[in-house]
Amino acid sequence: MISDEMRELLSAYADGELRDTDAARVEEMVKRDASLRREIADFRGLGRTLKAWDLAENSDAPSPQLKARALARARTFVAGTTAPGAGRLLLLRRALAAAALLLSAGLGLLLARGATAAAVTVHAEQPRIATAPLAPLPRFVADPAPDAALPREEESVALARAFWSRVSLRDLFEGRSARGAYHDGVFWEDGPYALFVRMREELGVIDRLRASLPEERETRTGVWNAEALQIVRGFEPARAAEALVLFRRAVRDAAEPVRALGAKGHSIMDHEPDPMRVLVANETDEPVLLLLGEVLVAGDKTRRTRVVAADSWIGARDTQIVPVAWADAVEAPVPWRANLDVRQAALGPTLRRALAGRPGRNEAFLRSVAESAGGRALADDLDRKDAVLERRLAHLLKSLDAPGDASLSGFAVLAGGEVKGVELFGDHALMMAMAPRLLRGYLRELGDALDLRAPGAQEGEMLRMAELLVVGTPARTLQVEERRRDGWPVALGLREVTLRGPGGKVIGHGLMARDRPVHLALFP
Amino acid sequence: MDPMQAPGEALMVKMASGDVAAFEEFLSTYQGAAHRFAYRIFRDRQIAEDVTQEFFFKLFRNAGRYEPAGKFTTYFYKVLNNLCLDTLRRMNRKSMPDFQSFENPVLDGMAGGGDQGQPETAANTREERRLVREAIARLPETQRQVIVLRELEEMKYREIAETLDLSLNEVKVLIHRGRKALLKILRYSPLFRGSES
Repeated sequence: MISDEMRELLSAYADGELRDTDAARVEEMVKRDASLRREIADFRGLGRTLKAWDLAENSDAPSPQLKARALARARTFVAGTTAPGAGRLLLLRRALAAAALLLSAGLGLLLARGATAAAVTVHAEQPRIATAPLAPLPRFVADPAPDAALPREEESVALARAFWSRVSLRDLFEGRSARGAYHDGVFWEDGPYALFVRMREELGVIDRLRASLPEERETRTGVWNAEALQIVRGFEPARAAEALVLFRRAVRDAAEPVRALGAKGHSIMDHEPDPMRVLVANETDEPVLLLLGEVLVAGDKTRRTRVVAADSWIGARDTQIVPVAWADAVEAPVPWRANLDVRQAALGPTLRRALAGRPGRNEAFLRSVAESAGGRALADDLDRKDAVLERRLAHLLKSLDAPGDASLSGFAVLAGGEVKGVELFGDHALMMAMAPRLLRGYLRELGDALDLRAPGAQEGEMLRMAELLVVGTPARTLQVEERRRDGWPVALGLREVTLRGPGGKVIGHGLMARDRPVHLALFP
Repeated sequence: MDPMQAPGEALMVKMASGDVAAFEEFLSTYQGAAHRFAYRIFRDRQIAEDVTQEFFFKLFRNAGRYEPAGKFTTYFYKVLNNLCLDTLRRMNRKSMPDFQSFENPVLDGMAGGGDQGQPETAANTREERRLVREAIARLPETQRQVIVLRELEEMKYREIAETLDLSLNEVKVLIHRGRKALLKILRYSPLFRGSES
């Protein structure tokens, strides 16, 4: 009779896993007992059966995406652990350097023919995040692999930071639906921007990020990169024939776009009790960009006009308080409501300069209105329908969008040989979306004075003005203030920037997204 | 020597310093094994891929803590098995997934079709495959893990013990009991491969 204990050794014996002494004992029994031999044969048969079954059931190789996704996460992890942690000052420096580079590259081409190799070289030192493909979302909340070394919350934040650091704005705003991501076992086929919105809503990631990131100072002062500003050579006379100098992007992908998206579906109303701010509700699934100086008209425009006092970004299905100025301040504030269908021209450079220099101070704006363009009322100015102006505008837009110029991302407007304003954008598409409104403003103010003389005659003047605008301004004295507005997701890195040269020689305003300019306007 | 052993250790050491190229090689070498293992547990390709991806990232992230003292395979499957169990718990499943509920429509649909021309594959019909699934599903969780590691991953008893934190004796007994339980169901089924062909 064989004991149960001995029988339980039979499997190990069949597998050759018994110590010699035990194996010898079992072998002796097996020799004497045919049922044990059958049992061992059954075990081996079972092994073959299971293997055959497994082969049939489990023959598919993992998808190629598995490796790609794991690699992407590893790269992100490496980048996240080696990069300095959330250095706001570093970001600011990068932002300034990038803005300065774009500006100087543009001015370099204003003043010199051909590409500026130096600008390319300098830019190559800048971080380039834009082309990294979107990998699956890190698991923010329910990470199935808790890391013993890190509290889950910290890990989650680290993952979120890493995620946002490699998501380009293009990905965010274009919402490429071909991409998807797994989150917590659920496949999200939405575009990345929609993902962002849903994550914000459902997981509160942004709130947690906001709570976890180091406290951000409201305002910072910095300086431009002096070396970058020295890359200034000459200008492009062919473009100057139209008194409009086009800025060619010296480096592709130097900046990512923020799309200027459809205007329908937004409402704007007074933000009581402060008439200098309006509440803009974006009821669409796409973000909207409002630029400094854009005029919002409601009802009868004489008394209901609002002017956007700072570049503003309003997220999809989000509301944002936007600072405005208004020309009819003598009237008591009345309920005011408009929608973005009425976005028209922006103001001209003089008034935009006044706004840029003193955002939120309506008195200065009103004074500028009174002094500008022969004291014309703002509403009258907007009413002006000038066939010549429209033809000129069409011509300028056509030259901006000329074939082969898809890399243009900015322009300078000149009149009488003087630079009246410089507009730089994240990319060509954004520039083309915004240019009509801005150029109308320029043309309304400068139309008659627009200098269309031969480029040769202007060359010296333009060079001088450009130098005055940027090069002539000692870089170290150009002050940059940046401010993050309430309601802007920290992760997007959006900041309002105001530039001031000594003695108000140059005034600028714009919106930066991390280290990239979304839009910068500069006025001498 | 186990072919999984040497490259795994060496690559883990490189990965500890953040070497992504080493990680890529590591993935190429082991993704099949990890995915198969996860699939055996979850019977769902998507979940298996998710878990496998998570597993590799976890290995990469924690490579610095890896000590090549033990056998690499053991470490590999131990981490993977734990991750699978964590995931199962997270999915609010108190035990291993119900194999009967994880149909494989693709494979099952093929059964009786494409596989019929391959007599060497015993479990080649839908019903037969289901029978095996059911038999495995009926095993208690630890028995099932032990059987999978032994019969399908061909691990040594000691490795299984280390992977699942069991004693050697427990492994012996669990394997034996698991086999006996499976034989009760499968021995008389047409797909049972009782004699070597």
